Amino acid sequence: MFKGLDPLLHSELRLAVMSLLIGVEEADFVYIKEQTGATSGNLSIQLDKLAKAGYVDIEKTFRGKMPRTVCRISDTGRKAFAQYVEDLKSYLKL
Amino acid sequence: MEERQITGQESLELIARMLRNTQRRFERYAGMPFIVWGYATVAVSIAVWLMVTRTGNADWNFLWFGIIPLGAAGMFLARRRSEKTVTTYTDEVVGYIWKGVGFTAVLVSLASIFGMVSQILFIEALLINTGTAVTGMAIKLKYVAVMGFVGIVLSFALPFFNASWDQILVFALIVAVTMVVPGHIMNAQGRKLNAQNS
Repeated sequence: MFKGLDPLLHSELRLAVMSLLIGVEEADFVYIKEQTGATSGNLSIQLDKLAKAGYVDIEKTFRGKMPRTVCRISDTGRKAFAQYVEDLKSYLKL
Repeated sequence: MEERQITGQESLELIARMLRNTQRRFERYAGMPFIVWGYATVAVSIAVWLMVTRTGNADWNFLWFGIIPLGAAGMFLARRRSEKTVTTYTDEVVGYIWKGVGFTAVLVSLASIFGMVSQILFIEALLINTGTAVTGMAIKLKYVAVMGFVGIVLSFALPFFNASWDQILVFALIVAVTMVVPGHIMNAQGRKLNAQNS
């Protein structure tokens, strides 16, 4: 792997999650799961990693009686994603 | 999809694919706000028209304020059955548009009570239809924008009915055409697209 690329983002599932969240204001767990095709367990683990790094904010709420997990990209995550894309472009010489 | 290292090229393709997916989204019940607020307005319009023409008492015009609880209750129920799992920037913008329209519409109604505003239904129709037209442009649905602009033009018929209570029925008809109809079309389109994708 190219050393300059953020290792937290340079993973298939985490990058997919960040790419989804960059294009929306917020998305819930079900939507991210559908779009990425990931398992619930794996997605939870990767979201936790992104949250611990401060890249995403996770809010647990309810819709009626159903629990709902809402994810948003943070400012730190937005900057990290932009930097990742820049690094990727220079890596691919685009 | 798993936690695995990917090549630079795969990264680019993945980012592009995910961004495309968020742009392609169309909710099954996208038209619900139009339907709920449209029917609430039409129902209250007919109720006001019936009461003022049957009793001759203009105080029944206070019924207009019933649109707010009726619409709010409808939206509460619609949100409970909603499958909305993602909110885009456009959704937020549309929300702000209608908050602005709603706030101004209530303010104009209050001003009319104190005699500060005449041609109240004309102004309200212009506000609602401008909201529809701008929403249509924001969500890139041409027929919604066109219905909004048609509504703006139709609104100019309202002053011609100013001397008659029937102006209320013309207002209801305009709202039905420019809110209820596009709302149902949007829902039908959402159902169709979701059926194709599933």
